[in-house]
Amino acid sequence: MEKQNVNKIFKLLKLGLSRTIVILILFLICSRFIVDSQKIEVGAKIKKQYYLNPDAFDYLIDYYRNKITYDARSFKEYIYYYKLLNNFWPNSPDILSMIAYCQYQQGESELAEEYYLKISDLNNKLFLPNYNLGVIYFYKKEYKKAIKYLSKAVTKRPMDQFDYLNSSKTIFLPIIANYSSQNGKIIEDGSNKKALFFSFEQISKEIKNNYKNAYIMLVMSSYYINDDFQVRRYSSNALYSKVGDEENFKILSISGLKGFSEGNLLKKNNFDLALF
Amino acid sequence: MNNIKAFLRKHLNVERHIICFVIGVCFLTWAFLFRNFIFGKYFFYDDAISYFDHIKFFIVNISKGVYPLWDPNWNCGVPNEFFLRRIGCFNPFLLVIVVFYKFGMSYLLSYNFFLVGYFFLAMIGFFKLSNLIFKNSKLALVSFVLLLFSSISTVLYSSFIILIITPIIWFFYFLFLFSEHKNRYSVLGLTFCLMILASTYVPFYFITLFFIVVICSLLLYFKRTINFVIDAITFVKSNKVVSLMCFMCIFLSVIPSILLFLDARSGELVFSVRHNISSNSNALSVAEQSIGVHGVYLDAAAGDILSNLNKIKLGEFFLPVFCYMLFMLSFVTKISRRALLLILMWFLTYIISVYDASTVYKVLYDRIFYFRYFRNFQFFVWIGLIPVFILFCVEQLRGLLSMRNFDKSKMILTIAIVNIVFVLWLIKSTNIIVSVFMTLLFGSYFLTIVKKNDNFSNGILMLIIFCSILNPIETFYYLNNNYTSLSVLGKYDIAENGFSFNRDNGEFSEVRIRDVNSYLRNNKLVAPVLYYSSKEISELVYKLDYRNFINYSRNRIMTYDNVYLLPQSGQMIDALSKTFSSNQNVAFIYRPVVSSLINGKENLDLSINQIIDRNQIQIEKFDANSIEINTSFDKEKFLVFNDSFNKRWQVFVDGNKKDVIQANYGFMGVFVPSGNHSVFFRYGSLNYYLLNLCGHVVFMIMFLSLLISYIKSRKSLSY
Repeated sequence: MEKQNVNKIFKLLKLGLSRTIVILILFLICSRFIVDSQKIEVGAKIKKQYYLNPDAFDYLIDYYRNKITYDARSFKEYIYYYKLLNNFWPNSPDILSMIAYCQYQQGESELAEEYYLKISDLNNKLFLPNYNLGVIYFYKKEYKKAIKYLSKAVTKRPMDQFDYLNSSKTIFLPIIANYSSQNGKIIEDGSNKKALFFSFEQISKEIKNNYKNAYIMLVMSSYYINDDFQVRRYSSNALYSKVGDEENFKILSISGLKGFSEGNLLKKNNFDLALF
Repeated sequence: MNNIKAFLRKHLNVERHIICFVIGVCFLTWAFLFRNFIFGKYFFYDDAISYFDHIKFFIVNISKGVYPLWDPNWNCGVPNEFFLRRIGCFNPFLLVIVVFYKFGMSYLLSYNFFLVGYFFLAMIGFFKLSNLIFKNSKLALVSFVLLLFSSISTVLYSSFIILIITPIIWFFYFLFLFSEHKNRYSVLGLTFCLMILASTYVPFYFITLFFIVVICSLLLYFKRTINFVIDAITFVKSNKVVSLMCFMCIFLSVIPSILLFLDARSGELVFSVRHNISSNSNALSVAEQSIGVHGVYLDAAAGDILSNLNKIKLGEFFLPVFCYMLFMLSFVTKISRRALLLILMWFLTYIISVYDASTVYKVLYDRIFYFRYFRNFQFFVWIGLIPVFILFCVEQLRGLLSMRNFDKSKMILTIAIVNIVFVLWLIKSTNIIVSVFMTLLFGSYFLTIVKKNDNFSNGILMLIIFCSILNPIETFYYLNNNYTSLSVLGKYDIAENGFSFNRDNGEFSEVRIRDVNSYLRNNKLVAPVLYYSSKEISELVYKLDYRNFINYSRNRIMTYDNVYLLPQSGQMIDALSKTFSSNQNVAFIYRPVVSSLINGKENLDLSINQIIDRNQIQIEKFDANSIEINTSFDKEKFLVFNDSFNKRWQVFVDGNKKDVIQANYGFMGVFVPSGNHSVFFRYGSLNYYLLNLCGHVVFMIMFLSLLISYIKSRKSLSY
């Protein structure tokens, strides 16, 4: 009787194992080891923008635009999110730059510095990592280092930075889309794609503004380390690059040069000479 | 009565006619569901728009007897080679559009009919392939219906992928056919499909799938695969002339793609969006892709495959629910080697298509060269995953039909339990449309009666067809309704004559700097990233105030009295920003040329405005590749032709060849003496045209050979 039962169970087992579904389950288990389904899930959700949907960037954008005050907890959440992404896409400059930005806002400028240096190594074509490093050193009053990175930053093509933002569909585009919508400039049909394209107008302005700031900090840093030649050089370069208001740079240059009593260079003709 | 039936069956081949009739009805049903697209009420979406555009440009020019090697419509003109490779210009089926068009049908309708015909050809190919696999025409018909009513048909209007799917399906059909009948017909078919695939710029989907099939076959049908190779070698040895001809044809069809590859390496062309962050110097290369941007998300979306079908849009994943019912038969069917092969193929395709979510992609990207030029793996859903999945599901049906010695009550109980679980899961899911439940109802009925017939009767066949199309009919009804919510981006309607000479006719509907103008229309203030252009034009658009750039480049011909030599690009761009804005009578060149018009920098006089006297220039004739201008200048002038500079352009003044001078950074110029002269710009050498012409002739010969061979071998083949 017992043997009969064993045979019956064995027969049933054999029958069960011979079904196609067994193979499917085996492949499914196998795929768990080969394919990182969590990564796919995150990818799919980010693509659909509901993991961190555009609303989730509100705080980041409002803070960036000086609309709200600093909230450590919010930044912690962003750092957690971007570090999570970093596990899926290690060495991705756009993710690292978001971590660095949040770290910097948290007051951890050393950590931010580390991230920006890494980004600069990963993609040395970009303006923003060099610019941000320059900003960090400028405010830390390490002017020589600030000059090193800011002078690197201003030689980068803005278009490369622009292209990079455009290509960063996972990280920057959701933020840009929201940034655009917050400015109330989504055109007619409110289609998401159009909003993304449209917002580059603002992003371009931001980048241009950063170039201007980079030059200002370059002139100021040169002034602080008493390098009159650099003050003239960066003022001239700024005027030549047409990154900001011409008069502002002239005033900036004048204030920098004051200390060196080189008033004869301040005449308009000499500025033109310096330019060409 | 039985005798009459037997007689009819023998002499009229009733079954064959029934199959043909069902195929016809299914196709008509499909056409009815897509009538708005077929008859042009709904326009294309996404990638399908640009393919419509490229093919239109090609067809319109071919109809006029011009072989378009240059496309003046794109960003101040670009070599058309890239677009010709995109559309696979040698494909003889494209000529169907020419025929329709020549008979007075509008281009849109001609193109749509071609598209539908080509799609239907793919479906017929799938039917024939399934018939070879299952050796059962009714099961093949089920495969055909399931694929026809999957969302593969919706990508017809949102993607270009059908241009690749059709030859791939037929290739595998001929490959299977060759394994059974080593005849010329199958060899010619294989060659013809390979030629079409090799002449496109993305044969990589095919290559990847082919290797997957080879690997799986070696693993599961080792002996048969080796025998197949031995038989193929024997065939080559015994049919040396035919084999040599086939190899030569394939080699010839690859040449244009190789030339495009080499061109992209020269650095003359820029594919900003595609190449963007790639470290490879070849402009066609792509950076390592990530699942965060594209790829196949089935793993994440598996729980929602039947939810929200009432919100379906073009190109979204969809399979008839009956397909899943067949899939669930895997609980009762026995493992077969064929099922195992299909699962393995599906699995390998899937792990490649998820990009960096599996380590396989990284290895392939680093080790196999073509993966560095290959992106958009999400199309593997349509090219590989859906067809293979459908074959697997039909294999389950075959498994059910071929089961012997089974306990019917147990089987029905198992199916019932699985279906109940399925229904419960559906109830839990959100927004399930009615036809899903109706299909489950009818499908369950079918599964309980199917075993009464070893080879199911025509009545049951009709029930299966009904179950297969019930759910798609409702889904495609919603697809039609949802079309209006799609924002169709940039329908770029090239004029019916291909292009007009002037870039500015007061509207944007004519020839234009495509990417830039779409930005202008939306009042953007930022220069766009051009998808495809010459390197110089890409830089000019970015570096100059592009409104000035647009205003300048609208004039296709400019004449100048002053020419300045500025060997540094930075200097030239700076100077151009001044001259373009005020239309001044100064052109700039890089290389020194002997001419009295060339001035030193000291004499730079930018005060003279550029005035073109229309009486001094007359456009004699123009087409996509050339332009002839008659000039009657009172003194020597520098004539600038504002299409982007490319090494393949040639210029002839009164029939004498002159050097094309790179002028105004990215354009072409030539010095023209005073008096009456004829200036002729032409793109491409005679050899280049001959190579393309030769390609068309070879493709046509191969196609006709295939047709003749088919007619000859028809009697020996079933279906």
